[in-house]
Amino acid sequence: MKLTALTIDNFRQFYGRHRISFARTEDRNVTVVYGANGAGKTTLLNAFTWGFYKQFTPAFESPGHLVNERAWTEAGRNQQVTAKVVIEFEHEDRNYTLERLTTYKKGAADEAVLVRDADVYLSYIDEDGQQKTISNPNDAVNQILPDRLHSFFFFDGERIERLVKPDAYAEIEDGIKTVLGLEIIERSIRHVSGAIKKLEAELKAVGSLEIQKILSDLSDLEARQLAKNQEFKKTEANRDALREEIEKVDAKLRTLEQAKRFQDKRDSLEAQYQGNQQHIHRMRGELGHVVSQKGYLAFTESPAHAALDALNALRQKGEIPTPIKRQFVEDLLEKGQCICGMPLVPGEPHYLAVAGWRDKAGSADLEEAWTRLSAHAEEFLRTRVDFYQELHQKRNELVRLRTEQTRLSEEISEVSKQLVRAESEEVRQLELRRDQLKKDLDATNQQIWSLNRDLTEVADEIKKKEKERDAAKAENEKAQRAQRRVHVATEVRDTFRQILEIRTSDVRVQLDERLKAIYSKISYKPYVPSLTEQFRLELAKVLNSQDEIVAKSSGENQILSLAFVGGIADLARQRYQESKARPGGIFSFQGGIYPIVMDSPFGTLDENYRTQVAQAIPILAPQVIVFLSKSQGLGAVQSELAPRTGQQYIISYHTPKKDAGEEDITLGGRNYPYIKHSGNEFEWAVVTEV
Amino acid sequence: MVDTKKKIEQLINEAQPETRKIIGEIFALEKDKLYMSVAHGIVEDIVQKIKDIVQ
Repeated sequence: MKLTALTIDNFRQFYGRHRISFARTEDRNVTVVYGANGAGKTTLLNAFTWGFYKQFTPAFESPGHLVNERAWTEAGRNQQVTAKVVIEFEHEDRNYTLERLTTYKKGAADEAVLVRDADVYLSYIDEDGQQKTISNPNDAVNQILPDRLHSFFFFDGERIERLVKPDAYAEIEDGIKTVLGLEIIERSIRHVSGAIKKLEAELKAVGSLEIQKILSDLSDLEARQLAKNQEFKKTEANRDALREEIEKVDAKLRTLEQAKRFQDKRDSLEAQYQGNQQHIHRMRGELGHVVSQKGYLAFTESPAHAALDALNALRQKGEIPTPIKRQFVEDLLEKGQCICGMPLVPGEPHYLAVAGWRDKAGSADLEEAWTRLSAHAEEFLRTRVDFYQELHQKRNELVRLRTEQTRLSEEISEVSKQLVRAESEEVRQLELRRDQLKKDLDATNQQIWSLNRDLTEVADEIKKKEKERDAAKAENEKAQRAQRRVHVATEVRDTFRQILEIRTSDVRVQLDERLKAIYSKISYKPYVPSLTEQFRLELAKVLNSQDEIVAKSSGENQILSLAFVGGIADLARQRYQESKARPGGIFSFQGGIYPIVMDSPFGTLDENYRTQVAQAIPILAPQVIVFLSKSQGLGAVQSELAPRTGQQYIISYHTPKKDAGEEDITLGGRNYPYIKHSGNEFEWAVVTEV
Repeated sequence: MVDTKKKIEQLINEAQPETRKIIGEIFALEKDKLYMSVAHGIVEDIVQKIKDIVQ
């Protein structure tokens, strides 16, 4: 998908009709639109989200007022005024035009009467050059760029850092699943579960009393699972809110003179604590792995010694190595001649004498087996020593880490005490509040842990009950058939669940790799980002072979989020290319090549980061549209973007405030009005191409 | 990625023939209705497919 043009008509502060064409060649893929704060940059971003999805970004104020005020005032009674957005784009070699509009009619008492409420039309030009209208535009747009992904491609740069906040984890997980086309599996699981319920109802109607009882129990268990799940989600939301609150308190403490030093120290200590915690988690995993792979060695000492003792006993008796092999005796008897040349005739004394050796001779196979066994026994005893050494080493490391954690906890607690004793009342109150929040957070975490355990237990019980249901004796053919249908449907659901798990984990790993690659191109700090198994975006600093989680600044959060968006775009693009190469896969969403539209991506970044981000922007996606203010976009940013910029526009803002200073913006050696007096009571904006 | 595809293929191949067939039918049904905000009647359609296959 590539955006061709955006036309806005009496939409918010844009008076009249304005058209913006977008750069879309490979070497010049960036369009920059400059505008003062409040001039209409966020409105342009929302023209896309409203046009495509009838949605607005969180920063968009008063979304109910879409019609331009001046156009409305100038309209006479009974006249209609329309706010309209037209987006032209190309997708899969087709040119589409999407139009969304809201119309109001001015009534007899100047009241606004809604005539058309965000009506949408989508059409394309077919191979014969004919314009065709698509009957269900919302579904078609969703198929081209799914709604669940749009916030990653049309975003407010100043708020993009919210992606690293706890309440965004679900959004990230959803986005990832959509990129990989996992929605279809999620929906399948949901729908098959519904089908199982219906089939179970049919089984209950024809099944035995035993089956009916099992199905009732199953139903109760599922109700319990549902309730626990709801409680779990609610508790998770609580935990996220508490974390957010603590972060806010910490941010405030960092700004206060008396608290800053302590808060910085706490940030560092807590980062170390978290890093250690991850290390402990890893170490436990490694320990588990060692025990599961080599744990049997703990029980090998006695059998290994027994085997070696038995072998030694055989050696002492002279049975091993055997003086003569049984096969050798067999060969002589078969050949009918002894090694001394004497003929061996069955029944004759010479034959019987040689045959007598057969019982005394040892088997070559047996001897070989004994040799192998003794080698294994010795190997077991050797590796057993290594195993114990490894075990002790890891356990000692765990003890060291736990001791370190205790020390860090004490230091963190000491920092808190200092803050509670601070002279400033504000600092004291903030710290007391933080302390309470922390206690609540600990209790919530405990609750989550116990809910998790309950959920695992219920899931196990359900599995057990399902097995009982499938194994119960069905008395007649009808019941047997109904039972088999339920069983097969359950198998289908479980297969879908496994597929979902495998794919989700796979895409997380892929995205994590991309995130690291893009982040390293943007940031100049020695941090490594990661997308955790819980879909959290984290930043770590590598210290002495051990990662330390970093307390992120706003700028780092922004860069991390930007790198994540770049990663999503890249993954969607790869998925698209793969699905083109191998059409007809089971996963319906085929990915896509998407533009990125960003409002103020340099918001809170310092000069260094601005330059780095400006360098990274053109590579984030095949087409990038950036809305910038003069202060964000000129200078180093402009120089970095210039080689890749194909189109530039200026939003000239007309203000009714007579005392506001007028400003120009100089681009390409020419001056353009940036802020201008409107000369009347209206404020409005116009777009000019540079 | 290759491993993942193999794992999923293996998972589907190891399933009972009836299960495999139903998975295919469900995917076809879901593909038709994926972009609809509400997939009307899909549960009933799935029940019918299961009944058709598991006689």
